[in-house]
Amino acid sequence: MNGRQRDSHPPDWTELNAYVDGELDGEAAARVAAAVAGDGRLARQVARLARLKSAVQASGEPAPGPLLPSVRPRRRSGLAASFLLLALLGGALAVGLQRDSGSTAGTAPDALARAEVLHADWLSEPPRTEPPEAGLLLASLQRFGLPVQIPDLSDTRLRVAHVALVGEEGEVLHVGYHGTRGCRVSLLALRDRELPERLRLLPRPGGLAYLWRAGPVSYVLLADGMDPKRMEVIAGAIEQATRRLVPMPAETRTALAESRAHSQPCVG
Amino acid sequence: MATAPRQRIEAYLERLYGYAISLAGDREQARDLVQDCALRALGASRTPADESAYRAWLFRILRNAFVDGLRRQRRSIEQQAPEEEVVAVAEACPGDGGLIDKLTVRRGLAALSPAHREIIALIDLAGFSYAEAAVLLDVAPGTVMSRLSRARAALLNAIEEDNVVPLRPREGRSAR
Repeated sequence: MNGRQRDSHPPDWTELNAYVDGELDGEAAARVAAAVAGDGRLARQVARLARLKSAVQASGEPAPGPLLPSVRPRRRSGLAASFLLLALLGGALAVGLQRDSGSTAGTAPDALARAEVLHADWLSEPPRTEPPEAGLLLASLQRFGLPVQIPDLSDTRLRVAHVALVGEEGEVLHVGYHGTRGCRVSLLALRDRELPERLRLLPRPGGLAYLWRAGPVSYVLLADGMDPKRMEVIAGAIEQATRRLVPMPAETRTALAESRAHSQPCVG
Repeated sequence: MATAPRQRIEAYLERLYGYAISLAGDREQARDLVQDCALRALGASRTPADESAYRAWLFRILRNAFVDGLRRQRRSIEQQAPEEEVVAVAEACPGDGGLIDKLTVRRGLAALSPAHREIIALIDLAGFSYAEAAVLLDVAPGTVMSRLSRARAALLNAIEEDNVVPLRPREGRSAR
């Protein structure tokens, strides 16, 4: 600020603020300092502003939890192939086996990092057209041990092609869906209570990720090169299904079908 | 040797959280915002090498995440700070009364509009200069200066009001 403009006037409130913040140039700062030195009211205002600034700086509150938790070493069973299971035979599958979830798969950075690795590993495998076996799928769900929803996405022409239980304690269930136009979607269920419940969209290299939590289970949805609008509809549908643990209503199935009809094939 | 991405961002987490509180006014939502910001930053293919540019970049990511959320609710930060109210506060030059400490400041900040909380957080908590804050907010430096002075006036007024203890009503009177 140019002090010459205000030479004939006492500093105003805005200028006093800038003075306290050290934002005035040398000439203006000197003029304000002189005015403050000769005026008790101005001096009290400057002192009050300085106290306020100092108190604001000290007013920070601790966060309610880790803001950036350390990423734990990624553990893989190495037996993913042995858990390939059968596609769901129409309708959603919900399993209500309860057990305490002592372990957690981490918070958002952890969950997304693990999801990225599993998704990339699955993409590196040749596409499978046959569905996994139903018996092994049920065994995996039982071992996962918490109520989890693996929705039927056949309305949007996505079919389960891959199921794997991952981790030393089987704390991550990875379900891969194949589309008919090159789309491959990963849905991961994690025994993890730390993710926020609300649906969150995160951009990632190659595509989008949606994260949310339903009760004791956190979910991550990943796809590369999918039309964002279609993926939004899919994520919303799955989120609702995971909260209700019942088959999707007719309007949701219609929306899924329409989202595919109005979208481009997956690219990238 | 370059600092690892996680170590680099950790140095700013507390200030990001303070800024997020100023925007969201809610601790859980603020934590979500910081986590979103961290994820986006860690997932970025390129990050600014210069430290002050990196800091501004982080805060911009967080702000964009918040603004995106508001857009989904068809709201904006500015929408919550009516200009007439701001002017009225600024004209009433705050007096000398009122205890200023971190508790009264926290309560006072909570009573402000998000736009006022934001500018105070950027300058006082995050340590941005007026010019840096102007770039972040995409406004002129003069706007930062005036908005900040109004915000502090509003904060001082809120603190003074907070310090006024209402008298107890006299006992023994029947209210009919």
